[in-house]
Amino acid sequence: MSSTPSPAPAAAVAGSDVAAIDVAAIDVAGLRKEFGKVVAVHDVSFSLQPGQLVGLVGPNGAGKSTTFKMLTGQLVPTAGTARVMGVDVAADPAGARRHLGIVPEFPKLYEYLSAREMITFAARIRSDDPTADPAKDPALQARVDDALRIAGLGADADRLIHEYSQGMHRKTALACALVAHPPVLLLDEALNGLDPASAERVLDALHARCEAGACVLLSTHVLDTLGRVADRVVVIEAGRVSADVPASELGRVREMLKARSDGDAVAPSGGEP
Amino acid sequence: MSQPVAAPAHVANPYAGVHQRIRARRPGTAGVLLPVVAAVLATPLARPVLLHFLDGPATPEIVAAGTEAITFRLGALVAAAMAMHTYGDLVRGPDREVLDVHPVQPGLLLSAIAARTARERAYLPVMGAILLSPLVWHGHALAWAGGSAVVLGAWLASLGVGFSVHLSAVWAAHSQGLAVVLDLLRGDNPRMQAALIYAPGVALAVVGVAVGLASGGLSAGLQGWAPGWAFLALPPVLGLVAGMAAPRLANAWYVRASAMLAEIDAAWAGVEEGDEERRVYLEWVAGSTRPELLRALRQGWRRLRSWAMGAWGLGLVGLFAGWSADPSAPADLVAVAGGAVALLSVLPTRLALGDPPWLDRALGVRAGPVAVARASVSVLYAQGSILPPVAALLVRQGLRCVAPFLMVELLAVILSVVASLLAARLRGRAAWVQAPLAVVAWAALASLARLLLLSP
Repeated sequence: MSSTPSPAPAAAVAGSDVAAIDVAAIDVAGLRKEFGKVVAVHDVSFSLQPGQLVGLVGPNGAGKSTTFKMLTGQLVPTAGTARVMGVDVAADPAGARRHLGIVPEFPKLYEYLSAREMITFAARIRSDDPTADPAKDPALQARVDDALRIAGLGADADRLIHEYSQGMHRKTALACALVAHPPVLLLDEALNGLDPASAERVLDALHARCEAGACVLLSTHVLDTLGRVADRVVVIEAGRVSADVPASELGRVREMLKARSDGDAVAPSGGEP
Repeated sequence: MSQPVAAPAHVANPYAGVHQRIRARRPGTAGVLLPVVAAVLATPLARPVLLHFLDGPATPEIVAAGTEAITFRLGALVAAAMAMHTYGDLVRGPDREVLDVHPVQPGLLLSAIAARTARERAYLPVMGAILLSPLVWHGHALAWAGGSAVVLGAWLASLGVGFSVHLSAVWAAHSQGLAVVLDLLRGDNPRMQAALIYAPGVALAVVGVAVGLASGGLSAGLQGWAPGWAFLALPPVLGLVAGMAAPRLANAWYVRASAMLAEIDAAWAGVEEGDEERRVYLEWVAGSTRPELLRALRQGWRRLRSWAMGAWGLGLVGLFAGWSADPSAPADLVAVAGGAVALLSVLPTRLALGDPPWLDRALGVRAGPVAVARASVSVLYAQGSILPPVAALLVRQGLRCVAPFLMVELLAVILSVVASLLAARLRGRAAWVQAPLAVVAWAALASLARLLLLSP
């Protein structure tokens, strides 16, 4: 784990004194999702406590993104429940979102705002008074500056987003998720396309947020990333949890996934599986 | 690298502030100017079609009845357009995909979306007033003012009713009590989609009743029954009442609509993985030798299916114009089917939005065949609006259907080619040029048809 935490103050985790609340930050029980005859997620159960950073890994099409979407309220489970800070996401998606910072696999942003404006907007709609002038709120401005610094967007913060590369889009989405210090962060492939320095800075920030009591669920294909920061790794294969192990067993997970991938490969010469 | 953007003044509603910044920076929105210019150009051309009662002896009764008829039709057209716009802006609008990962204040968001819809569609009542302006030239200023008020009322009512009905549709889609009804109505569509599909029709019907009463009141007022004028207030009052209910509905249902839309899209994706892929509307026309046309047909059917189905819906309306032994039926057919064709001719600009230029460059796709393909799909889709009324006229009046048929087909070809060429050059902005051009072309053809087909 990193030893250089971001300067984000623990007290700024607004409304997320999670250590004092006796509920799991994320609680998934018997989650199932069917699309017609296709069962994308079978019977997924796992739980994350406040302060944990957990990796969600698995091959393409395993059901990671579908699970994420059920956690964010973008899909309704066919069976089972997903709870965020005790709130049933399917029953109260708006309530659940108030606890969540989300980076989806394909982030969508207002393309004709600058990154600073987009992040300020994200902070503003999560504040106690969204109608207040953000220019007159030094605390909000400080959080925006901090999010821009973590994402590494400082020099480009005042350019329009539609001029950005894919990596900068993702950085902006990350900053939007981080800016309000939500108690739960759901990051779907959020480090894809980031340059190594930015990825390091983001990981340090995530680690600091966890130490302050937040919880992070990070979906990624880059297992080395998890080895440095994660407490646990949940493996999803073919819509089921096939392993839920401490991060120290990441080597075993890597070998297990590689063996499955080799076994599934169709082309004998090493073509696309 | 571009210059840093300037920070505008604070706007209390954060969503309205975002919309304001986007409006100031995004190219390609022409505002009300082009539609208003189109209405000014179309007015003298369309006058013989829309206000033909001014040609004869203008007794108060004739003017009142004629004004009632045209204001009801224009009001219904405005209501239909607004029913679709409110759906597009609220349910499938650009805000949803961005805000899906954020906690939102639905009431504030709804008021920002409503303000944007009102601003962007403000040209509709203005166009209505311009198209009715020949009433003033003929000395019927009061009829013009009343007619314009009815059209404006239809627009106001549609704003409030449209948003409330679309939000209620999300409730209806989740309602167990309505599941049986939706299953009866949905056809091949997912049950949840049935609620959304019929919502614009419900909005139109509700506003249509109010507009009907208002235009009837206008007629009565013009004939001296003073209480009739009070009926003009019905549509705006309806809009106000419905608009007051909308924020509460938004709080309950705006966020839930996202999951519902994802379910609907996933349901269609599941179908399209199966035999849907082999059942694309009119795919047989392309065969295997015209890949550009095949792509345009598949894009059209999978992304813009409502255009194909809507064309046949308009054709059904046109069928009533064609099913007549009246000597004016051929000219009426040109006006009705030509209007539908003008509306559908925007299709190539929508198709172009689904073909990323970088992909065409990467694939080495030639612009010429792509433009021909988009125009062809537009003409093919237009047949749904042309063939039913022509068939009806063929049955009722025999070969008198040939001239109007050729006129409308010519309009379809010309407008589709123009739209396709515009789309190749202007892409997303092409619709702002094409739609006004289509209005003027329709008005010219409808006027010409009356001249040629009604001459002794």
